Amino acid sequence: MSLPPFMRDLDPKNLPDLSAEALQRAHARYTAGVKAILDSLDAPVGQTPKETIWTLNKTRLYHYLPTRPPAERKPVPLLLVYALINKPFIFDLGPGRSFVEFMVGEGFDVYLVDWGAPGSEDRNISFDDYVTEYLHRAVRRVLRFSGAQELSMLGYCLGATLAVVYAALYPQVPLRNLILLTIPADFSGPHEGSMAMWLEEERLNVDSLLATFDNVPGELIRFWAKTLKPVENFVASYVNLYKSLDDQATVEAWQAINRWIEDVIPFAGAAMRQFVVEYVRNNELIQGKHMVKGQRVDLSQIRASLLNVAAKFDHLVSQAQSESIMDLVSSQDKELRVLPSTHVGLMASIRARQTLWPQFAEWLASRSMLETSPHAALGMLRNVAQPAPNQTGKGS
Amino acid sequence: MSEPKTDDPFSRMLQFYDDWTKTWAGTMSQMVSSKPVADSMAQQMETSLSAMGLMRRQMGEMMAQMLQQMNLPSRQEVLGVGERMTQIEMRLDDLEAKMDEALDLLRAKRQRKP
Repeated sequence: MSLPPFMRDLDPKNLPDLSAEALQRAHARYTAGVKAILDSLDAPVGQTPKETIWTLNKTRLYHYLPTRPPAERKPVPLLLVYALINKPFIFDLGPGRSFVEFMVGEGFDVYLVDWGAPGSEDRNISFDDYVTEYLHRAVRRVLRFSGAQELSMLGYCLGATLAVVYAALYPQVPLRNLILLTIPADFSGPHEGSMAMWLEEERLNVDSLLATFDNVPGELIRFWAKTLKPVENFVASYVNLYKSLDDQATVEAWQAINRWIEDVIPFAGAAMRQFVVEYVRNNELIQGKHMVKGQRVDLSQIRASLLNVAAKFDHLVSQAQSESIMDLVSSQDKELRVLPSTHVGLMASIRARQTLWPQFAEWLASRSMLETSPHAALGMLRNVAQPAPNQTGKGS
Repeated sequence: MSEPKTDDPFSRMLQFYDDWTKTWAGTMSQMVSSKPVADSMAQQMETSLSAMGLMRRQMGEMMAQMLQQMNLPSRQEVLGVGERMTQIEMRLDDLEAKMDEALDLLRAKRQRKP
C-alpha cells in the first residue's frame, strides 16, 4: 500500500543516513536552533541612535538623531504611533531592517511615542486618555522640540486608531499628513478569523477579565493573535528558523521578530474595556457616535493628507475594518493602498524595505517639502488637555 | 520518486512538516475561527478567570487585613499614590508648556524693541 503524498517523507525507505557523524551534526544543528530561540529573547533591537526628549508616566518620546545634512532634511517632522499592545520596536528591528533607520536615512525628522508597560496604577487609563492626556502632549512636544509648524503622523494597528481619534478630536492641530497602517476602525462586518472574533460579547466577559487582572496580560493577547494562525505561528515559524540556521542574517531577523512577538506588555484595563465595548462591539467611531469628554469624535474633521494602508494578507485586521474610513474624512488628498503583505509584514518582512517603505517615504516626501502652514502651531496648542473647542457634543 | 537523501536526520521530518503545513494551515485556521471551537475556548477561559478572580479577591482581602494590622498602606492606597503622581506630572508638563510659550512671547517682544 502506498503512502499518501504528505506521508511519503516518513517512509522508512526515504530515511536519511543515520551514521554517528550525521547524528552529531544534526544534534549540533538542533542545539543551535534552540539557542537561537532562547537568544531571541535578548535580540538587539531598537538600535537606531535616539534621544529621549519627553516622558510622562511610563510614556517616552524618542527623537531619532538625523543622519542627513540639514539641507537634505524634510522640514515636517514625522511622529510614529504604535499600538498599546506589543512594543514599538517593531519600527526599529535592527540595522538594515529598521523602518526608523530607513526614514531617517530618507531625511525625515522621526519621533516615536513609546507607551511603555502599564502597571496596576495605570489600570484606569482609558483608550481615549491615551489620546487626550498622552498623545496630545507628545505632539505638543514634537512641535516644540522640532520648531516645526506642522507635523506628520504615522499610526500602526491600534496606533492608527489612536491617531485617527486624535486627528478628529483636535482639528486645530497642524497635522499635515496622516499615514494609517492596518487601522482597526470599522467593526460592522463579520469578525470570524480576525482578532475581533475574540472580543465579541459571547466570547469575552470584560468584567470578569478585569476583575481578575488590573490590566489585560499581554500573554493573553498574544495567544489570541497566534491562535488565529495556529500552524504558522506554533509550527512553521520554528521550522523556518531551523531551515535558515546557516544564514546568519535571516536568523538575526527571525530573532528580532520573535523577540517582538514574545516581549509583550499588558493592555491597560480601562483602555481594553473601552476599546472592546465602545470601539468594537458598539462600533462607535465609524458611526460617529463616539464621545470623548463630552466631545464627539467627528471623522469629517480630518483634513490632513491621508494615506490609508491595508495589508492584503492581514489576519488580525481585515481590509474591511480599515477601508471604510476613507468615505468619512474630509481630506481632499486621500488614498487607500492595499499592499500584498501581512499585518506584521509591513514592518518586519524582507521585502518591506525594498518595496513597501519606499512607497511610504515617497508619498510623505512629496507632502513634506511644501511651504509650511501659516498656522502658529504653538498658539493653537495652548489648551492641550482640552478637546477641540469647535466640537460641541453628540450630533453636532 | 523520492528526493535525494541528505545527511540531516531531521530533513524528512522537516519535509513532512512542510507538506503538513501546506495541507493543514488553512484548515486549522478555519477550525479555530469556527464558532464552536472559539466558543469552547472562550468558555474555558471564562472558567479559569472565575477561579482566578475568586482566588485573587480572597488573597487581596487577606492581604489588606494583614497590611492594616501592620499599619502599612494597602495596595489600593499605593496605587492611588501612583495615579496622583501621574496627575501631577501632567500638570507640570502643562506648566512647562505655558512657560515655554510665555518665554517665546517675551523673546519676540524684546526682538521687536528697537
